[in-house]
Amino acid sequence: MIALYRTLAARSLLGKKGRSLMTVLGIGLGVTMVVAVALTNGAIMASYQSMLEGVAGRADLQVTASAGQGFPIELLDEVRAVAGVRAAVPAVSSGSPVLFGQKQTVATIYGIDPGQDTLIRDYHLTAGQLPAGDDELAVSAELAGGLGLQLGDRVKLLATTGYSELQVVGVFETGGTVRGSLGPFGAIRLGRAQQLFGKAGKLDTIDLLVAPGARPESVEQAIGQRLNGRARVGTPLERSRDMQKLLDSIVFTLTFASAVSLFAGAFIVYTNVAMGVAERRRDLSILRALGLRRREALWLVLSEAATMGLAGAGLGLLWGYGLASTMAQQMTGRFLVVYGIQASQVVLGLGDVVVALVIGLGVSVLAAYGPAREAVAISPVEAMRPDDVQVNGQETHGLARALAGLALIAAPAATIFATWPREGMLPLPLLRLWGALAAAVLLGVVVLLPVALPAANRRLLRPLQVALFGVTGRLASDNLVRQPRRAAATAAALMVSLMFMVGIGGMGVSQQATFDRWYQKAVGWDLNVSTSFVGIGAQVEMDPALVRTLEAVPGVRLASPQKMGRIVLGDGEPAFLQVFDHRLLRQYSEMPLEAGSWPAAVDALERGGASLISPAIARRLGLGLGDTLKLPSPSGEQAFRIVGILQDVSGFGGTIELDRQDYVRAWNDETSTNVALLVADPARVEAVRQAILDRLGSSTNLLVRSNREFWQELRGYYESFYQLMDGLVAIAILVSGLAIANTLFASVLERRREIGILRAVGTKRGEVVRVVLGEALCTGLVGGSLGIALGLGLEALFVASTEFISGAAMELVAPWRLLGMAVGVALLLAPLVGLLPARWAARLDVVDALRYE
Amino acid sequence: MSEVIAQIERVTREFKRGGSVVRAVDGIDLAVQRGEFVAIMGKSGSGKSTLLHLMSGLQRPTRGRVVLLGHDLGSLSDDALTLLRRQHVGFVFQFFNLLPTLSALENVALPLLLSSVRASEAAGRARQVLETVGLQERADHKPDELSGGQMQRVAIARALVNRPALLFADEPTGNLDSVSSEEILTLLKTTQVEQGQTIIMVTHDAKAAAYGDRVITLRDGRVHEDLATRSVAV
Repeated sequence: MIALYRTLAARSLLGKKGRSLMTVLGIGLGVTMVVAVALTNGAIMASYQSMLEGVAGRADLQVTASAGQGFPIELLDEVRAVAGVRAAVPAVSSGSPVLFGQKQTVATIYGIDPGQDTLIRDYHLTAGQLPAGDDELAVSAELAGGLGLQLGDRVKLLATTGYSELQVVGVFETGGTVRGSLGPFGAIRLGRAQQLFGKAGKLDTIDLLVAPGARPESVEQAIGQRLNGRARVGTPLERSRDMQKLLDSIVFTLTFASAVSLFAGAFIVYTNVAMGVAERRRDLSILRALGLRRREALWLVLSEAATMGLAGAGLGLLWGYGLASTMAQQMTGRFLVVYGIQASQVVLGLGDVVVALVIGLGVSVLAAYGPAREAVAISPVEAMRPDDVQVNGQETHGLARALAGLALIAAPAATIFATWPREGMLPLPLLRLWGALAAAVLLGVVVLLPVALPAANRRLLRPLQVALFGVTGRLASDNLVRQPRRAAATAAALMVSLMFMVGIGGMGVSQQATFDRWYQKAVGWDLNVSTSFVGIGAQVEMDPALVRTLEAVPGVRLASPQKMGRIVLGDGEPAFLQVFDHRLLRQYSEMPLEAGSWPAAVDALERGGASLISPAIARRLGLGLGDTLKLPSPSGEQAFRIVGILQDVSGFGGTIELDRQDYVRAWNDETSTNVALLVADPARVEAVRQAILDRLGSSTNLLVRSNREFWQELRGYYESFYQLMDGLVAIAILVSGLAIANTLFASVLERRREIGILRAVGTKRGEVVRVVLGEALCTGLVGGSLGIALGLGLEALFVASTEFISGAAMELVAPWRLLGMAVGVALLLAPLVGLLPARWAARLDVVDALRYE
Repeated sequence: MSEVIAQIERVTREFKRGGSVVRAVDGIDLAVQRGEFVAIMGKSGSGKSTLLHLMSGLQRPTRGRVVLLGHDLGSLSDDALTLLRRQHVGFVFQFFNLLPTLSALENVALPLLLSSVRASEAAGRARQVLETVGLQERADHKPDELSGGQMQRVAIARALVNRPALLFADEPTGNLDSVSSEEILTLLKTTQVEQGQTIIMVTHDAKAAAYGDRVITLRDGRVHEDLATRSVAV
């Protein structure tokens, strides 16, 4: 068998270097996507877990706040008193910008009790000591390295009241019993941290060690009962689930993208192997006559595909690794940094290598199986005699295929309809099932296509081609359906790419249009002042005194403190919490509502005890207008009457809006994440911004944004995601272009003699080109129209289901620009890539072609 | 009065095979008169098919001149040569070479359609020619529904449909049984006799060559014999 492989398969691969290379590239691109997505996800999760584990140290359990600015320090004694708790170590933490000279970085700053903290975390000091005084700071080696810090250096740290100076007194390595890596990390004294981050009398975490012999689960339960909603208790790693949830929706889309490119890669293998078999029909028949057994013929063809699959997988691993590094870096820069994650370490594990090889090999062998079966069916005598009527068309098993295709389309579609959530959110397993079902629908279309293609050709394409191009058009459309399975496979490759382009892109267009409309109503301030990131996670809160200072800046008509953050609800799932002073908010914004009236709602919020919730929360908790929303808080459970259902575009798993007076009372937190300003004279916005910077710019890290700038920034988040998608679409289209070129080459190759006849009876070269390009155009029309139709369907499905996935409602908007581009691709891509095979066909030597058998 | 319709002067055609140069046709001079039925004979490798390809403009000579219907083929562009074939030359091949997706009628009409003759007119003329080859009943059949002899008759009909000045036939009976062979040769002879069709046919079969009124025998790329014969009467 090896000898057979060496003399026949390997030689045939090497003999057709260009074609083999194209196949390897096709598979390689598909595997690239799979590897890149897996590695990026892995890198982000690994970095996050490493950070969680790093800060958690040896802790068995952790108490954390369910929302906002920590929980009362009194809980520490209560937790300590619970039976089975060996040690309870308090900490306050915040992500904060750290400045040293011209250099700046974001670090996690921990306020610790140096006496107790070493129970949980190991600080292997390489120089100096842990902080003993209030203006002392010990830094991790990463932070010291990043900023070039030495003992005795003074750094500026952003706090709620502005910059504070601290002196570096120690540098430590993390390691030993600490499982993870802390990354850029600084430790200061607990009391100082409470003061700097506006958390006087509060804690962010209590790290717990369970006494020997006590069961962590029972201790966790006992603490949970004791806390009664004022804070949460869990194992440190439970927090990584939240991150995985955030990543899931991104990974889901990316996985979809990689499946698409793999799909297209499979088509390339299919057409290439089919072409190889067609070309070597005679050789194979001679081999069969000489005694090659059927399964040896099968093995021979499959081994060629496997070789190309393996080579493609190798290429995919390399490229995937590179792409993952870029993606992880981009995502780190865009939003992961907010979580303190530096996902720059992309690690290629043995498991990834195996998966890539299995995928590359599997897809190639599966795709080659059909053509390989045809090779097996070649009889030893059949190709020995020159036959003028070539094997005309592939068997399509019309009825069985049509039924199978329809079943594959109908059953999943019905299942999606049946499992459509009437209430509640869409659970992830169901979402994954939907993904699989959508793939099944796609497969159904692919299965149905070879049967539908000849019918569509008869009724639509042929008349169109004849009307446009006369007899050459007629020949082109006839050629299209002579190998219906292969033609369908090629059209399907284009279809999938365009479906992806229109579907995902359309979702982006809908999302942005919805967002724009929402923004216009909901965000009405002239300027917004914050000291660090506006978002979720690591941000330095702003002191109330800062609001009063802003109010006093000449030209400022109104300064309204706003608070945004995460809250963990009674069901253990997070939501986005926004807190406004509605007496002020009503002067500059109107929150778009899906139910309830804004004037009545804002009155109720002002009076207190009222809330607005987004549809996702309403579904999750089974609540509606007029019902009561119960929220855990440090001062116990709070009840709010629901006075409106918000239109939600944030997609953080649902939004809850409260009034500031209620929040301050129950959460005992007067800080804000940003301050909205109205300017007395709208023409003087720039002057006011400058006045603010002049007054406060040197003492704190101020970010002053105009309404327009903030809009651009938020849009940028969407756009960077869709730019990545655009890249994937481009790859998918490139691969489908390759598939089309390939099929046309196969088509020309098989019909060399016919082209010879055409030339002999007086068909000009240009007319031969037209015949081939006509076939290409037909492929483009079929693949394009199906792709566009399915893409619009996909967009509708995405838009409709987003509400159940992320909680953000979207309006369906027709993506005209994308549709135009898709039509352009459908009409131009195929003829463009067809030029090469067409020219080749036109230049065939007539006599050689006539002799060709 | 005789008229030279095709003339070749000192034509040589060489091929590279492996490292060496093979001379398939070696300095042949030949003139064919209008209305002649020329049979070119020779063993395998004697250069007879190459000669036919050169005379019909399917291939260009390495050296020498080919004049067809007064046109020096060497001076024509590919498109001009193609048009010349389309309008004035017909081909019949050993392996019929019909397009499998087209019906017999459409195959015959193809050269007319390529010349932008209206579809209805092309079909009408194709039907007429199919009648002359006795296949009017099979007009709507695809090639795979026809016998070998029928396919070759369709191929001849296709070659004749635009009333070519010259008909080239390359082993037209090479793939047929003896009964079909005789039918085809008779058909060719009839078109020569009744319509004055000029025919140049390559064959290795002496019985087939006997239908020609001039038999040229090639050996090693040169004319070995050029005999006017009394052809088989039809």
